[in-house]
Amino acid sequence: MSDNFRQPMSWLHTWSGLILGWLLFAIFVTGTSAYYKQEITLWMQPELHKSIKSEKTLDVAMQKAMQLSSKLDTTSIYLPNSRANTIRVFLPNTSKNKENASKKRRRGVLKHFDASTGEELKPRQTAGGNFLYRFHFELYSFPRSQGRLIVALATMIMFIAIITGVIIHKRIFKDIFTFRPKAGPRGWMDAHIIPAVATLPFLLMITYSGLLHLNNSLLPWSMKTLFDGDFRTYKQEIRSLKNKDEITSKKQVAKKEEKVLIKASSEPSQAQKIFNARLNRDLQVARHSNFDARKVSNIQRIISANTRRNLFQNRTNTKIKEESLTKAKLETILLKANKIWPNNIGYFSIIKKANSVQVEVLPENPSTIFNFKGDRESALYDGKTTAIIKKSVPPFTSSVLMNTYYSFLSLHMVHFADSNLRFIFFIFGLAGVVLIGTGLMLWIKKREYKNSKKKSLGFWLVEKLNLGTIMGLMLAIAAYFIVNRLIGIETENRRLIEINTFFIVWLLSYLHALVRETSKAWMEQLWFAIRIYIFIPILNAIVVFGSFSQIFNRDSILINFDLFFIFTALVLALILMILKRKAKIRKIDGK
Amino acid sequence: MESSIYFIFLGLILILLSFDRHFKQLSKKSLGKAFKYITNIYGAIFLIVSLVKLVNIFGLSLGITYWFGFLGLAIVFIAVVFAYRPKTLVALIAVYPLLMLFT
Repeated sequence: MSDNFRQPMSWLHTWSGLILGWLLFAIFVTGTSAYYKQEITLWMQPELHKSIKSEKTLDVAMQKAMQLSSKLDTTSIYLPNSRANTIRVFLPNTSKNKENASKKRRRGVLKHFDASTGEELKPRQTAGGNFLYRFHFELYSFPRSQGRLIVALATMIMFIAIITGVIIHKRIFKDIFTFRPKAGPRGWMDAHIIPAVATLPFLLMITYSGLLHLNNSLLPWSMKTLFDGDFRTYKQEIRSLKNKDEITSKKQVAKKEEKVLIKASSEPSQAQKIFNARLNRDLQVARHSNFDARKVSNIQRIISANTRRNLFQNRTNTKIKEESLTKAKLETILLKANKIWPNNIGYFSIIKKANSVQVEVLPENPSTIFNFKGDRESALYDGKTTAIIKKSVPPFTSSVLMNTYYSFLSLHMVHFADSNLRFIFFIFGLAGVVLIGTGLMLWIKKREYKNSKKKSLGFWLVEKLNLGTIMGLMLAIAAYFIVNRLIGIETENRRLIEINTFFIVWLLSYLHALVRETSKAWMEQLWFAIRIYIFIPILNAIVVFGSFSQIFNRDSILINFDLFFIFTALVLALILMILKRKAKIRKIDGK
Repeated sequence: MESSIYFIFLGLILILLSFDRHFKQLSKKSLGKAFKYITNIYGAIFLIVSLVKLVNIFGLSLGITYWFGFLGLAIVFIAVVFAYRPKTLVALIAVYPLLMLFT
């Protein structure tokens, strides 16, 4: 590729990366944290921490399922897994005030039960991992559509920066292992290139799939033209396309079921037969004698009411008869499912239908990346006979377009990942954070010499914004965790207090950067961040634990959190040490 | 799965040895042409073998995802460690076979 082409690409890479770099940094940090969204929420709800998975867990879960299934049409049970330590039950909202409830509550609530005792656990209110997760694609306090549009534009810029980055990097494979930490700006360049090249497939995938997620914000015109801007109809159309094959087969099954149901339920009892015969005779008489229309319609109404009542009674009878799923049968079903997915059962639900009871079982870690919302790998069992009805492995549609689309969305959200793969994605997310962070710093490093000759406002502003964004976010996230432990459990608007603390600390970091000399501000904020990250596990131990033994007697998810905080503090300490050494050298050189 | 990770690591180390610049960081001798080709080709073969093994274990879609995952991690690990301890890093390729031998 000629330099005539590379040069403008380099310009585009530099400036597009800089202008939205700070926003992209925040999106990448919060987006990476979203890989552990569920775990963050768990950490922020210490009431759930005492639940520990044991041998009794499955028994407790089955007992809970049997209890609840007598009241509910669908009982969904999530077993403890590598991401959660409680038994979770989804209770659908059946109340009349559905419309007034928030969107989440309208569908239902998730209740937590102790994995060993089955006792209900009531966690505190928290914004949890959900706030960070939502921030990464719709920011905060913006109207949803605007927030998404801003993120979509930033994602587009990121995509441009990745492609131009590949174009301007001449020796992409030859320099793949090149890292020269002591080479000044060249070292910064290597630190920018290594995570970029090593995680290039991930970066391309995450950015492109991010664009696909936000396609409607970037290109809303097709929806506006074809569906009159009605998002629901548009979504429904997509869903129907996705499940076209499935819907056709489901419809056929439903029709068959309906026929059987009508045939079975419209069979009246002996007494009913006699009564109906009498009514029919009266009807004939009324019709033939003097055709009393009123009488005819009255009799007809009685007949139809009787038929309806009959139908309802028969349905109730069959329901009671079919509710013959026992705990032993449920256990057999789960044992059967365990043969398909050894030690990998993540969820089961009891579904009561008009004339049958079914048990759906899902694996914790699916065997394919095609795993998105409704498209889950599952096995369906007959609750009465415990026989398998069907085993479904996505993709469910033969549409290549839809499968490509949904596999990208699934890759972005890693619904399919086990704990190893999730951790790899998390590390790659951090590589993206390092990539953007070093990119922002590189802009400064390349212009440092020029700025020392002639000061510029732009340089000053970028320096301050870099510090406020990079360190500010680190401090804000730490403060977000700390405030969760400090404010009272019953405090009103806990969620809001947590979120406000996050933004206030972030803002303070910008202000501190503005009033202090940049290199000093870096060191001071790093110094503060190290202490604050070390403080989190200590505060957690003081507030949550009743005894010393509890520190080790916890679910590994929570121990990993403490390790992560300590590790982050160590990395920050290393950066501070390097900065101090460099400042010393500069001082000596200056003298 | 452990063997696949090892093959990725081994493959990348062999490819690394086929680069003049990195070879010089390890040895004072210059890189022979035959050695360069052999390490390069064997490196690529080990990477392909690891991909096939992962696809066999996890299926096509998950296998490819895992392969890219381990590949990225290994590149970052090799690049960073090689900058500070090049000889120790290359010596690490003996760890897995030794572990296999003794367990």
